[in-house]
Amino acid sequence: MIELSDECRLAFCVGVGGVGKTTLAAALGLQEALRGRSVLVLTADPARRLADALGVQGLRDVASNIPLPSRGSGGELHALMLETKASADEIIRRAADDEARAQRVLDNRIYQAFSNTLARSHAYAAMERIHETVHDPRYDLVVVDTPPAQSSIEILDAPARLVRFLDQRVVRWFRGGAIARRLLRMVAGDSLVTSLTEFLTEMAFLREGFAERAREVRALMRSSSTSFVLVSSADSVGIEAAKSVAAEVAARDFEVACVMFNRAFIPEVDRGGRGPVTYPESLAALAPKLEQMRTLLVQEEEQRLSNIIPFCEELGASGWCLPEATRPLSDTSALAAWIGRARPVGPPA
Amino acid sequence: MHASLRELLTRPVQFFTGKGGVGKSTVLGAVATSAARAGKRPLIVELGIHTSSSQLFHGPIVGYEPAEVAPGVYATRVQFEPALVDYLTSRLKLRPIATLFARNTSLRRLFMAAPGVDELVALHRVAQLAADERWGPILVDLESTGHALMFFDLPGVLEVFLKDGPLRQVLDSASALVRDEQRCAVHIVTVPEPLAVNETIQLYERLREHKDLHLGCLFINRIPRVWLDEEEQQLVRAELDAVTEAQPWAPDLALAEYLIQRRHTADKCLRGLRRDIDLPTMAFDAHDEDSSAIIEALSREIERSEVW
Repeated sequence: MIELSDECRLAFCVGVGGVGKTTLAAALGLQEALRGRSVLVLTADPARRLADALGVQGLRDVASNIPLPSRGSGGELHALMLETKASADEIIRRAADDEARAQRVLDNRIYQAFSNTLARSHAYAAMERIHETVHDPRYDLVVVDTPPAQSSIEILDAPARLVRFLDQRVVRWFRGGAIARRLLRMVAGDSLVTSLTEFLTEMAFLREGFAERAREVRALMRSSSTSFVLVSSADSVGIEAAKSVAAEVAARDFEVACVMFNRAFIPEVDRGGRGPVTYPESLAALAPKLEQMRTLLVQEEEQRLSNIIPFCEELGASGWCLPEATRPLSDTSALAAWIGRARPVGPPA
Repeated sequence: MHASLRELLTRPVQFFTGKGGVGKSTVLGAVATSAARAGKRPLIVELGIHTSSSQLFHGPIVGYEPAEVAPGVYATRVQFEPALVDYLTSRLKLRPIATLFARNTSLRRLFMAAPGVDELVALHRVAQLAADERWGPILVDLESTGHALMFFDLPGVLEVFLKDGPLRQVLDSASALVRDEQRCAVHIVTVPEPLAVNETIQLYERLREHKDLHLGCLFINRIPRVWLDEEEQQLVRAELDAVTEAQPWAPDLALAEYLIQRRHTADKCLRGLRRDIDLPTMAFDAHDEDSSAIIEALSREIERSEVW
């Protein structure tokens, strides 16, 4: 059974788009909740998929409690869908010591554009929410479902970038005079540089807290309490894409703990090691087709494994194959059953 | 009245979008391949962190400078840093100054941290390639539906504070390109699976809200094979009712039933797409071969429809 270590407090599901990151994040969170932990699944993907997978109507920027399919484990499952604007506004309100000051930032047009759905803004908001929820005593584990590739790396980079930018010297440089600043006016335009400077001044009170939290998240991401789960499809093109995501993760000195290969097999293909079949009279006409079907699907599965096994070995990570689901997974029981059928990657026993 | 498939696939700039994992890059690769065979000079533009086209064509790693990945097919990847230097050069006129400027520590930190900078330089690069007459058609691979909406929503988001100045020009020229029906089309790629279809219909509705955007074709990829005809399906169902778990052929019937279900689901999805999406459509069967064989098969299908 797939399990995260008990030490793990933060898990990132990373991977390119369309491989089932959201479903896996939900399933992983669910499984840990069924093991007795109190889990929050945080999705940074604005699509409704997490709500759909968990069988709830909708999710908001505040955590909702998700009923578990079976009780008794003592665990809990919560889910939250990050909205950039709501999260950003909340951060400003919390950090500002008075209402007027917060309102000035909220009314700033640069702030308004930035708190919209730009990839980097989204990543900063995610960083803040990760910081907040990991420190929330209600949760033992936070599972983060990242948006597709580019933006998922964006989330991993956000804390470090922000720490570097919010460095005192940079802000001082930005406010002081320099030749480079004149050049900046040439490339970005006068009015933009003026409003940007205004914005940075207005935001100055936020800087220290923001930088501090970014540093903490970065440290946490490098600690053994954080796991990176790489999600991939099982075909060769998908695995190539996963390799480049793995390389991006490694380039940041993070370690992939395990790889989940989605839609790697069809459970019905496995006939439990039975030998050749003698078909009854009624199926005689269909027998060659049934044989051909299974042979072809077994071949496809072996083909996939021939890419999957070396990839896991190369990466030094454990691997899990997940079955193709006939119907969309739309509640926690279906989700638990699905992840329960995962098979470890390895040479055949 | 719709433009024809032929006309849409010959526009100079074409965006491909759709849910991740539906085979956008493969379809795009097939369009590029058939364009190259017809004597055009297609350029694939990738925006993500990884290059699909190198892998698809078993070609060289695609970087910022366009490279030939298959006979007559070129590909480029919009990487942030060189795209930034290109933008700076367009303003400061001298590349050495632009490069020095991009290396200034404080500015670098600003460029790496400020929201919108990456999107803006990517827009600039796409517009720059579109203006380059060496290439045509330009086929832009938008990573996911979120990415696509970001791309087309960006002018609306940023114009609030970009009232004037050079960055406004970048937005304006990109918007002008996207708005130009003669030059641009936005294609949607999907697969006949429930999750993908739901997302595709939502994407289609969202894209239609952009009145100035010109939707192109709908590509339906990976239509599963029909294994059994109607009569055979009935036989499988009848036998399934009678079979016990101990009978050795029970797993075969279960597998057959699984494949029948899969195809039924696909048919239902196809009907949904036909009902809700009113675009010229091209459908491709699922192939299990290697990626270049798939591209070959799909490009032949495009050629059979006599686009070029």
